[in-house]
Amino acid sequence: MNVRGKPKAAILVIDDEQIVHESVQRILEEEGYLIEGALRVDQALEMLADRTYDLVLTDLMMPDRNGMEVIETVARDHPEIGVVMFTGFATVESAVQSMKLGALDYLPKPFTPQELVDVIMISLEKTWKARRDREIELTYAEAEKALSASLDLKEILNLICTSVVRLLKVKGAALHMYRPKDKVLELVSECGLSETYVKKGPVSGDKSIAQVLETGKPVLVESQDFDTSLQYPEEARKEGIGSILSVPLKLEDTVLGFLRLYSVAKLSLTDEETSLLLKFADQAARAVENAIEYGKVKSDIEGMKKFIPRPVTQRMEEQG
Amino acid sequence: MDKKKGKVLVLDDEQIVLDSVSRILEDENYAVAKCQTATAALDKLKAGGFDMLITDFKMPGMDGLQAMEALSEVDPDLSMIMVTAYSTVDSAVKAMKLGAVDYIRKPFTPDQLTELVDTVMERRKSRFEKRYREDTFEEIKTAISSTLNLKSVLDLIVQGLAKVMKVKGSSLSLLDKKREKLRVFAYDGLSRDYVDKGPLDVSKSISETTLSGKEVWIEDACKDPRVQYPQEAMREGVASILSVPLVVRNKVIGALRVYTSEPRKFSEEEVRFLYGFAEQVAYSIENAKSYEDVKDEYEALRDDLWDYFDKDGWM
Repeated sequence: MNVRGKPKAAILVIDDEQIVHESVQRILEEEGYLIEGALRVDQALEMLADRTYDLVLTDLMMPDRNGMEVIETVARDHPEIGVVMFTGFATVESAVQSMKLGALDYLPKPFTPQELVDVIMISLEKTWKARRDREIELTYAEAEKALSASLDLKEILNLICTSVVRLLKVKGAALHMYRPKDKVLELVSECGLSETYVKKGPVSGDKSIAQVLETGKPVLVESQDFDTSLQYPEEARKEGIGSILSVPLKLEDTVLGFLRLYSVAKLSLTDEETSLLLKFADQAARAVENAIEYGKVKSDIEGMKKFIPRPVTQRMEEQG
Repeated sequence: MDKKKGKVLVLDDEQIVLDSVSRILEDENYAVAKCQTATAALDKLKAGGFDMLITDFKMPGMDGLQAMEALSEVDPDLSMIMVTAYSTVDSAVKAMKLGAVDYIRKPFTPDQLTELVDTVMERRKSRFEKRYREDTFEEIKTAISSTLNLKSVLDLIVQGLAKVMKVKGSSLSLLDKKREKLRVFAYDGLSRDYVDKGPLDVSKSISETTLSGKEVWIEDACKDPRVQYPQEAMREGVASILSVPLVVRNKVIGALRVYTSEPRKFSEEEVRFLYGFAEQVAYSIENAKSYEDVKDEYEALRDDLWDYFDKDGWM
């Protein structure tokens, strides 16, 4: 391990020659990676089952089994790990075959230390990107399922905030419901924020919220614009907030409320993340609407029960 | 003339290669457009949708790798094959990284080429099928979550199911309170006679398997001994049936079925999709049922209240 602290990534190197291990290990440990080695494919597959790695660097021709088998196994059983093939017997066929099976790169031996370092760096970036994409997809699917499995308003409101924080990895989120007739915003759920910040005071429909209402689109306020665009700029700074994204919860053209995302640094979402967020806001609005509808009937029932003398109410409950 | 199997853009600086590739593929019923430069290929691609690009590597001006980069920017879904007489490990790896589906050496036999192009077309088709299912499912989910009316929810599910699976028909059945009979509550693309043919006994094998939480695939409904009403299936023109359970919180509440007019298999991916579909809509059904229950309770209470204030029935 390097002196600078935590390793940048864990890499499993598979090669039947000890000398290759030594040189690869020297080059990559210098760069701050954690390196583990296997001299045989079966040993490597056991290590893959037991431990977590970010990347596998495998030789092609080995006495016991072939490097292609490693690529296939990793692609099938550990899709979150990237694989790079390196070989002293480079051919066009094996290069094409490796890439088709899912290798991120194919490096002929011998190579310079710099070539190895570059290939590893680029492959790790691809691996992490793919991992993040898959994670966000899974988190979204879970959140969507949870939202559609409930009719309990309180549970749904909480789910919206906690899910969006997990989905986009932001510091916190808050959900305000909106009453158009007097432009009052009511805080109905939040997560990841301090009590002081949450209780800073009523939020009005001016400033950035007004902009969201007008455009019907998300509005991002960054720290340099806090004084002009936020109602409580000082409190936001004290809370350690770097930017706030306000997203409308809409049903057709009616705005039900606002979902606000708070991040420490400047929030920059990719196009996919933005479209996922909008899709989530759309699902959330429908879930809220359904829960309100269900809650209304429930409370109507409670209201009516008050007018019924005890015997009838009891009879209803018996039938229940 | 037969419908073309696909549209292929061939890019090579040598006219003789263009002619031979296009002759081979045209014989196999592909529509082929020939280009000698990457710029010409770009113009053609912008003008009309192509399924596939077959490009040479070494060309004057833009080479094959640059052409692939530029063309995939215009159409990220374009399937690309690189063909070269000067194959190197480096260019092969680069081509694959740029998204080529294959990299082959010249010369090749006509059979090699058509086999490759057919395989690529097949894979492309199933990729688009998958995307179609995902997109359509999104639309269906949005429509279903926009209502709590049970009948609308059930109708939207069966209509959506037939559309998303591209099948003749679909049905949704729910278990009765005693969990003995499955009754059809909604259907699409099937006749009323077929749907009303009789109750499905859960002790019969299809329903039994469904209730144990597994899917059932019947290839030929007229011959399969597990089918309770083979005569009716034949009259209805039903060939294959796929049935998956509707599960809420680990409890089977009913089944979703799709019916095809031709005997067919379902891919693993299709079956997986159907499970995901069933899982998602099962919750919508539960919610709509809960809503219907409170509505009923509300109405019963309102009637009771009415009776109480109007004991003698004057009003």
